[in-house]
Amino acid sequence: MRRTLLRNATLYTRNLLHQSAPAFDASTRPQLRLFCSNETPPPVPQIDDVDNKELKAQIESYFKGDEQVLPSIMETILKRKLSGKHEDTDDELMEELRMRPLDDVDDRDFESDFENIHDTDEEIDDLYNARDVVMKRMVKDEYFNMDDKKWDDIVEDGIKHGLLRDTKECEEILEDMLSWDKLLPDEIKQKVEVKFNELGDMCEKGELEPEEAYEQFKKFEDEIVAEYLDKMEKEEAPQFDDTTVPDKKKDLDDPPGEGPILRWQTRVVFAPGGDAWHPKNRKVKLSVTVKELGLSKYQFRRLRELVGKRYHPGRDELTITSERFEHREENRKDCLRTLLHLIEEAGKANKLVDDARSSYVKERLRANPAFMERLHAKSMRLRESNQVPA
Amino acid sequence: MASGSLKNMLSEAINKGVVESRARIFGHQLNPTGQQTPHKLLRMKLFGEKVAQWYPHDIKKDDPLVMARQEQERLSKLEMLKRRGKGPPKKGQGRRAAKRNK
Repeated sequence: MRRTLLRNATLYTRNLLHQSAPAFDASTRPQLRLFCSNETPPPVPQIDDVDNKELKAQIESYFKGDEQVLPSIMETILKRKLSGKHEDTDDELMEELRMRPLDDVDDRDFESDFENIHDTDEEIDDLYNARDVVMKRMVKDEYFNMDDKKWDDIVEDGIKHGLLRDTKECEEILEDMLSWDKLLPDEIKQKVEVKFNELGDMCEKGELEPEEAYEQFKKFEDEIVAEYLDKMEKEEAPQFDDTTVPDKKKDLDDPPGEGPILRWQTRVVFAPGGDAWHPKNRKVKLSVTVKELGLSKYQFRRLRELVGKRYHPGRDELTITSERFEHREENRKDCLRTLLHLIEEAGKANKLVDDARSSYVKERLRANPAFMERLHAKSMRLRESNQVPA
Repeated sequence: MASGSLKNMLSEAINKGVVESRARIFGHQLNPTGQQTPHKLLRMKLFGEKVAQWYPHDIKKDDPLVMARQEQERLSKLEMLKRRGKGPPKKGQGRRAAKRNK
């Protein structure tokens, strides 16, 4: 760091020399005129010079650790530059200083800036207790060690309490964050671009210096941000009065269509060669939950009689297997056809039950003598009433 | 039938025609009397080609000259055996026929 200071000092002295040269010339001319008109001019006042030994002693003391000598060193360098008698010697000295490395550099100067810029994590003293340290941090900070499960819990909690009313909107917000440079409306973008171009043109023409242009641009940006905030404040703030609002996500992941879910199991064997056919690929297995078929009690019993062992009572699952044809797709069609036939055949149970019940009632009525007498008399009466007009 | 209860009647009604329906849907072959039928053979897939693949194709059979030469050799060898009294026996004088006469 001291070395960089020395380099900067020499650079600054060079700039000062360049800037002060015309002033020096201008200041000396009127004096010469005055002296010429009156009397002979005296010699130019000589600036006191500093010899090499003194400068070397100052530099050595600085390197040894005395930081108070630095301004005097700078004054010495300036004096030597102004005198102009030691240009070669000073050039050699600069080369020597540039090549010499510094042994004792105080790291505190660098570390202080680094710590201010980057806030690193605290050091853990006892690494054997890392688990407890992590648990403490998780208790203290809710968002420490975030993973998918935690994130899902937070989202679910937000949905439950109505903060995340529409997860579709949340997804849109996340997409906006992903492409944040497209967030601002086009009007503001155009305004900023126009202002930037104006300031750039003025800088190129020389009307403005870069520092002033930067200041103006900064002010303009602040004004734009304030204007945008005002616009946002004018809009109504969302209300969170409702609690446990259901999710209003429009497009769901469920596939379209109605009816029971058909679960297919097939096997695909990848064999060397171009021919994809393999005897193991033929078999197709179709599983369906019987509850989803919407059968009545009698239909269900008939179905169980039809399928026998293909029905698994524990899982309420009906499995149909087919390997009748040579190709898998043909077997899939065969499975589906079999399932439809089974459903149709089971559906006949209701009609059979109704017929059986009605025949049972008829038998019971026919066995009742009183009912039969009344029926007989009624039929006779109807017959007589029909015969009279004839 | 009238003597039975309603539940039994309903159960019988539900199970009416189940066996025939099952056979029709799943492609079964009904054989209530247990007679011997050729259904097992008819059900099998054609496997003649697969059996024939057991023996590789002999390229000599495609060349008539080679087959003629082999036939000529066979005939000459047979003639030599006959001259030495080692040819095939006449009909009715072989080992199998002699065994049958006993």
